[in-house]
Amino acid sequence: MFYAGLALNGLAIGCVAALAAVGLLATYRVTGVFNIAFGAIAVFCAYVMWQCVRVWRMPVSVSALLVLGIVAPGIGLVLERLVYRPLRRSGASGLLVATLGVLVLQLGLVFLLWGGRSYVDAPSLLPAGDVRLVGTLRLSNATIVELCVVALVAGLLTVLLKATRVGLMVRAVVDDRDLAEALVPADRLAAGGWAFGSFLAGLAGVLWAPIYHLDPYSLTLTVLETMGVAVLARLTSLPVAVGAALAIGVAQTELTAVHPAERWQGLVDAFHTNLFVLVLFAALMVVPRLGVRGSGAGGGVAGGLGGLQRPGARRTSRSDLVGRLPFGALSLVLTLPLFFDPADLRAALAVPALAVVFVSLVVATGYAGQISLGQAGYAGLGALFMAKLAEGGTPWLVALFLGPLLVVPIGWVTGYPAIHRRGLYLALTTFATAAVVARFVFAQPVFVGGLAIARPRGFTDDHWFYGLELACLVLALLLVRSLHTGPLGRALVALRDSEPAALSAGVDVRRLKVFVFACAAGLAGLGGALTTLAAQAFNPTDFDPVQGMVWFAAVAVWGVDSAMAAVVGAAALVAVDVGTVQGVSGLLIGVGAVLLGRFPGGISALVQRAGDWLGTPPRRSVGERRLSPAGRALAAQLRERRAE
Amino acid sequence: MSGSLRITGLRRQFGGVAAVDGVDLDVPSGAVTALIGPNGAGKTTLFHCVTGIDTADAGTVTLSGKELSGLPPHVRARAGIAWTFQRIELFAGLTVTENVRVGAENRRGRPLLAGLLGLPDSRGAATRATAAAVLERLGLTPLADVPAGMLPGGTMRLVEIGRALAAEPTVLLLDEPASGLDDDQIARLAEVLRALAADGLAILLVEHDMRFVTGVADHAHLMVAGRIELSGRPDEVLAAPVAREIYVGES
Repeated sequence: MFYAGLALNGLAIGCVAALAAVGLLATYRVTGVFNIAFGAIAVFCAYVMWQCVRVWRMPVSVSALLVLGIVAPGIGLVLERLVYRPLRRSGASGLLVATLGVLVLQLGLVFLLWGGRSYVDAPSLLPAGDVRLVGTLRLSNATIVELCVVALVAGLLTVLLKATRVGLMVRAVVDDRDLAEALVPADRLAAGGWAFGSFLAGLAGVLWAPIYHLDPYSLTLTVLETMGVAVLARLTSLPVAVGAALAIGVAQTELTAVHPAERWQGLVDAFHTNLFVLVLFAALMVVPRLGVRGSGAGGGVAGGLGGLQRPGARRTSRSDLVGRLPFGALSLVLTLPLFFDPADLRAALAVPALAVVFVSLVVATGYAGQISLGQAGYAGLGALFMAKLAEGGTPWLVALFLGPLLVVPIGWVTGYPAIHRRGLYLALTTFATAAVVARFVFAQPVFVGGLAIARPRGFTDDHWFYGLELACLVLALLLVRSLHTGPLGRALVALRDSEPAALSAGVDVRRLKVFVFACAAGLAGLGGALTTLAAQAFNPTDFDPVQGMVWFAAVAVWGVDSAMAAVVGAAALVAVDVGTVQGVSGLLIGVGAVLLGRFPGGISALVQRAGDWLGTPPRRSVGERRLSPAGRALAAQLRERRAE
Repeated sequence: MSGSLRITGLRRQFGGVAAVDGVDLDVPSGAVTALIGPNGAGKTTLFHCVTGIDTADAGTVTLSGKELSGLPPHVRARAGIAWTFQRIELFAGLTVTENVRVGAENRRGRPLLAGLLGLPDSRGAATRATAAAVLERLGLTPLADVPAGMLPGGTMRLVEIGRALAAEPTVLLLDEPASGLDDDQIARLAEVLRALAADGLAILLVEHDMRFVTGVADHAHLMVAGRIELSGRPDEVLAAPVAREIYVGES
């Protein structure tokens, strides 16, 4: 059945999605950056608009001019100058982390400035009312205007890029900025591209806010969900994106008219409210040969984590921090909460649990080279499996470890398609997995309703439970340790440094990557199970996909290579969250992620470099310290020869 | 002929251009075979099709009579083919010894779970010995503990060759092994390759340094525009008019 009335409602939904998708793609086409933060910029602009009109009592037209003419493009210019220009050589991952940083930062700002409150009185630019089509069918003015905006932007941009000189120059800059610099004013063009992209984000936010209500997450999430539309369009075709967005919007509302047998109704409801997420997931699984600018066509791989890792960082048993002095100091600090007063100890319970999740991110990203934005999904599944096992009669202590173990095969299955993807698509695939799990599992009462969470017998007291958490953390760190020693550790470093060479040495690269990714999923599951036990309740918000993004950004800031840094990072995040107002941690992580291009490897690399500098006699280079006298002589010889 | 590599009817097309256009090539064991030809002749593409990095459109590659077509690179590596890259590919974060050990210890798969659980590696001593022997042979022993990323280009090449040798292959493919090496290193490399061939290894190399080729190779094949134009002893091939045209510019 096809209902015309529903279809028109769907058109309204599709319109907003199309606006977001066009904004995403337009930004991508004119800047070469897939701006995940698009939605966050939109939300920020909408809040500024609200502030101007409702608090400062400015006229709507003046406010709109201010927001769309100055604030939005200004954000773009600032981001280009401070964030993206310094990052232009750091590859897909560096850019991805920076956009994530901007997203987290903007959300943090919204929380700080407006307390994250939502408002229903966002000012509208558009005329109220609707237009009668035929019979009782009506189309609201807002939808009509949005359709026009979408068509206009898509049409104009297509023509501009394909048929004009400026378009050619923009494409040249997006393709290879360094090369284009010699021929065209690349910096000015890139700045213009960003100003335009942010303007579109501002426009989307200002148009969106009055239709739905203004809150920090809604548009951010919608934009993340519409990434599926962008993937369907292979990040290039604006018309395909618009068509797909409208079609999905219509399909979504048409599904509301489907009424199957009672027991399936919940599933159908989940489908129609989450069609965009499903499309994202399906598109990433199905659309073949997705390629991304700047991530290489499939040859060299070391660039895959450009910017995230310190170049030439060593990761073998000898030089890693694990097992050395900081480990001792850290374990001392981690036992301190046992002497805290009860309230503080309770807050500290979150630290080891989060640390285990962060360590899992180090394993997935630092060791297997997989950007994982989906760790929240695995964490939640670990908690859920544990609870279900316990419900079935398994003792809690056994379930705590068995549940996460069950996540390993899921990590394997979902990691397999992900490793065929690179850079941006890999990240999107992991995010889509988490989003699907969140919507179809964690949000469904069938699965999570009436879950009773109890701590294992003997560990119900906070002190004992904290001890149990520390034991789990040590287990996680031991696992990491075995990942950088022996043949397995060498194979992993080999894989990171040169994938073709690792293959030539007989390393089964694909199997190794999936294996490590699956292990990381299991670890995340353990972290999630601990989180749930610490809170003594299963909170789906703990495992929100956006949460996974924040975690990833945090780990990237502390350094994806270092498990120690991840533990410190988890403690710091919990401390900031407990000690300050909401938004501060986001702000800090955001600033860190945005600046990551300037200090590759994050905080741990900075610390390590400082340590190297302090511990090295001034005249000798780092390499020489390890040489025998004969080796030193040879090195000197080599240096001479090079100098000649 | 045991341990030899046989390529038959190999073809690889990019769009409308056949980069490798029906190549038949035997790489016998116990000898050094050189593949020469101008840039863009398809030599590296041929290499890639043999190693599995690229997939041939037609033709077969057999190693000691065993068909390799369709197998992924790491399986071919384990089957006994070792190769180096035109652009140096090293594990910059590992030391010279560790680089070579990676070549030695991945010849046979080891259960990943054993590694994860930190079980001792039963072949550890053997692979360490192999790596040490290879370093000795290439004169790299004094540099054993230097991070590979800190070495000069020529030495990196030797480490790469060492990694390939550590897998104890039956066939060794070298893509421009002499480029970036100084005269001493080239002489040493030639010596090592001769010795390896005498031990029964089948060696195929792509090289532009003709002095090196004539010094080390037993057979040479001239490849032009995806086809083998000429085969024979290196000096014969280089003396032929078609080769002189390419390398000296005489017509």
